[in-house]
Amino acid sequence: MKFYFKLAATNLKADRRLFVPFVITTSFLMAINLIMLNAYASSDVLFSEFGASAGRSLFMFGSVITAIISVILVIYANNFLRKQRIRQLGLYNIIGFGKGELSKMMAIEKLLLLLTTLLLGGALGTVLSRISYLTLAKTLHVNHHLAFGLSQKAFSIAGMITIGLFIILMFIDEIWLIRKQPLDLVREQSAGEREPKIAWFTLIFSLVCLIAGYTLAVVITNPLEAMSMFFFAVILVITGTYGLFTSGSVFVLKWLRRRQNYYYQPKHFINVSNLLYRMQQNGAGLASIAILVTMTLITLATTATLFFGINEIVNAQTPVDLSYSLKTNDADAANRVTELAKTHHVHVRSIRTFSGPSSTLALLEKNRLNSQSSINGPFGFDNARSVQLMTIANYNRYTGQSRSLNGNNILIYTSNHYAGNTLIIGKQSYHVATRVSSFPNAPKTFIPNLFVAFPSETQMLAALHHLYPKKTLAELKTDVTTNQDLMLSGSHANQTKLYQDLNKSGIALPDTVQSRAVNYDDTTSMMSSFLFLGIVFGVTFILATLLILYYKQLAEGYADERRYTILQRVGLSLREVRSTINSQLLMLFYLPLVVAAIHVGFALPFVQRIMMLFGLPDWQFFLTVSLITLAIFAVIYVLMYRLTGNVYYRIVSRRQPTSRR
Amino acid sequence: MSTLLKLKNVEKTYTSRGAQPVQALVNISFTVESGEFVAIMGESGSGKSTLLNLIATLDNPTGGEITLNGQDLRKVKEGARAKFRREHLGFIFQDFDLLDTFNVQDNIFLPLVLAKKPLALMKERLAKLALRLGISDLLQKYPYELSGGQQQRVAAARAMITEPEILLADEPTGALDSKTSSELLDLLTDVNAQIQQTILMVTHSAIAASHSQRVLFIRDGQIFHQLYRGELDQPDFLTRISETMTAMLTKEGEGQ
Repeated sequence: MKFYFKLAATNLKADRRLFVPFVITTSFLMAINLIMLNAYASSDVLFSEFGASAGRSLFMFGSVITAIISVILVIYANNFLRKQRIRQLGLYNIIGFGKGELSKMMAIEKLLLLLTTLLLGGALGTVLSRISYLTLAKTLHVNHHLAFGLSQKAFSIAGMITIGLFIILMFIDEIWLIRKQPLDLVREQSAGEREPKIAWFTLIFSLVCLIAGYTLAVVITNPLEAMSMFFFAVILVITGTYGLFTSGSVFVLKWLRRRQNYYYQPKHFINVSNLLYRMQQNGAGLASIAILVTMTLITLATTATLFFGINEIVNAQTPVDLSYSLKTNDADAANRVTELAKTHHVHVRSIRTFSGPSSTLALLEKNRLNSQSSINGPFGFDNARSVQLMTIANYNRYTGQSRSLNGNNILIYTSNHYAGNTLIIGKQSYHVATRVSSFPNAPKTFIPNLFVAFPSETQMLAALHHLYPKKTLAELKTDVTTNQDLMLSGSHANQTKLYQDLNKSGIALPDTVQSRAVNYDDTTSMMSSFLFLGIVFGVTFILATLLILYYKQLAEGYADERRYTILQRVGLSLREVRSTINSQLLMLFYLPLVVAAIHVGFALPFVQRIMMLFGLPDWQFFLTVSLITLAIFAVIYVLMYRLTGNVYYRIVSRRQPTSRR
Repeated sequence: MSTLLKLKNVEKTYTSRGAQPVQALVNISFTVESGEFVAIMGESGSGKSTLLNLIATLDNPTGGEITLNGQDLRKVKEGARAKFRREHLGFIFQDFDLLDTFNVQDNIFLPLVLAKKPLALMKERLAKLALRLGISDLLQKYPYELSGGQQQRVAAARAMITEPEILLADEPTGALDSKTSSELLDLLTDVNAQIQQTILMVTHSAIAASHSQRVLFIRDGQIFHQLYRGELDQPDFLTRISETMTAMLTKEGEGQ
């Protein structure tokens, strides 16, 4: 047994150039998993009440995705590793190592790699997790002594994921070894390199997955449904991307090769055949890059939009500086609040009072307004309206106008266009006599507003009864709340103090006081933490992309070295070699970027719908932030291209055409 | 017959930092006439591969001059060398050096594609060549599906499709068994006889050399002896070559 450990250690040392990147990859992946799991574990501390569930589910989502990416990446890396070592394994086979001994040797190598990964990944993950926690706590103004930011559970899960990964790898190696005939090992390098066939099933299946994913992104316009289907759509698109990169690329390249006028051009000739030749193993790597790039872009664009949209979100949620509800029509409340404000050096600029029923969700079907319980199942958001019923007296009191209505005439305000001249509520048809284009302090949400003012209270109650069929008229008549909306001037801190005092004062109903200043603080802390996460994610994805790119260039450099030597002998100048390599690298580099851009194109409207839930209905703003993110990312991507392209070029052109193999 | 290749006082010295300079070639002069089949024989380390690399413009001599068809190879600029090789020279290597990413047909087309020749011309030349080399059935296969002998014939086709002025063969039978070796050598002889293809072959095999018309023996970077085949048939020429080699080896023994 000792012998095998020595042998395995010698192998690892001898093939440093293969194993060092491998261990860096696995360690880094373990660190990512650790960061995510630690963040997930401390989400309760970091997100106090507000946004806790959103934060948790975001971290959960991230943990699952990083685990999936880890599995794919490591299997990809391992395949690469094994392919590079076939000759060496064959040699061991020839000098008398049976399959049993070989599999023992490989398993012990894996064991050593696993231990290194656990050590390196654990250390790196610990440091990064701690830094993440401290930064998060600081941004969120959470006392960082509340927790340490490192969870034992996170460590054991990340450890288990890593160990599980290596067990999968050992399993794959074992199956590969069992299926090989002894001498195959020596011949493998040439025999393994046959032209890929078009995998029709994979091609069609992945095409279906991708189309389904895209369709979901386009068809689902309901924000809540979009949120629940998001994960499913992501899985579909990921599956489709992997399948298409491996099988679709072979299909396209074979098609290009059949077009003789295109194919028999020096650059295309070499590139198409080279790409075709190695697309099956390369496809997975490229697909990973495309998905990582997509995720980076969406994560950064979304979190940045939320962060920079804080004002808009706050204004949508709290249109006035201070609002609260009163028990009854307490005439004195306004004065008492004004007095209270004075003690905090806050000046009340205006007070608007609204007395009437609370607003409710209802369905507008053509010109008929129905309660949302009148249909079964989930209702479409296209028809949903946030309905506020009132009398014309209520309207006049709140807006300070003096309008009058009579008969079955009504006044309406809508935040989206309503074309009808009549509005039917229950059995009664009303005539739309007045339309107002604005309503002070109307909340901005993804569900359009529909405010209706009636001539008399009786008419309003009848309409209300239709929307609340379970309540009696008498109940509805007494079920009236009074809201006061205040505009203030005064410092942020003073407004916060006023909010706290007002909550304690007993003037307003409990839990009804809302302050824009307080909401601003809450929203800022939540969006900052989102942005922080987005950056952590983004950096992680970018680094993972860099690792794959580097690995890919290394592998391909070694594989192409001999090819370019031959080409130089046959009559390709060094300059032509360089330009051929460049165009091939460009293709391999920009293909994932283009695919990612298409993915993002489909994902943006989808994500935008979800962001409407946060009160960000402005898609132009989101688009602008996305484009800026894309531009920044493109620069980083080009830098990575330069960096890894050099690795490839150095390997390929280091050998003079004169030297023999 | 006109002189195709001319070497005059060619020298090659390798100097590496901190080490003694190594003289690989010393004062080599010879000519190859158009349509000739010349073999250069020598043991490993004799300098014969260095010599071939110089003629192939893959390396520069440190002294003397090499001309091909009157063109001084030293004056072919670094950037234009690939084009020069493509247009004037054909190569056959010991390890075939076929590209595994291409099928047989595309491997043969390669130099013409690099030279941006029209597809029709490529197809026309290939049709003739494939027939002559007996590889018509193999065109759609991939290198890994071929035997060594087949691969070397494909390599020969790739070298000849550009209709080079001179065909340079570096140990072309080195990786082949005796049967396929003799098939390939017969093929080279035929090509030389039928279309007057000039061939310069570097080898350490007496049998391979015996298929040529003239053998240059090279030892320690110098031309040691030259042998013309004249009217001899191949087996007789082989005997002469063997005798010369024996003499050379004996002399080497005496020299010590």
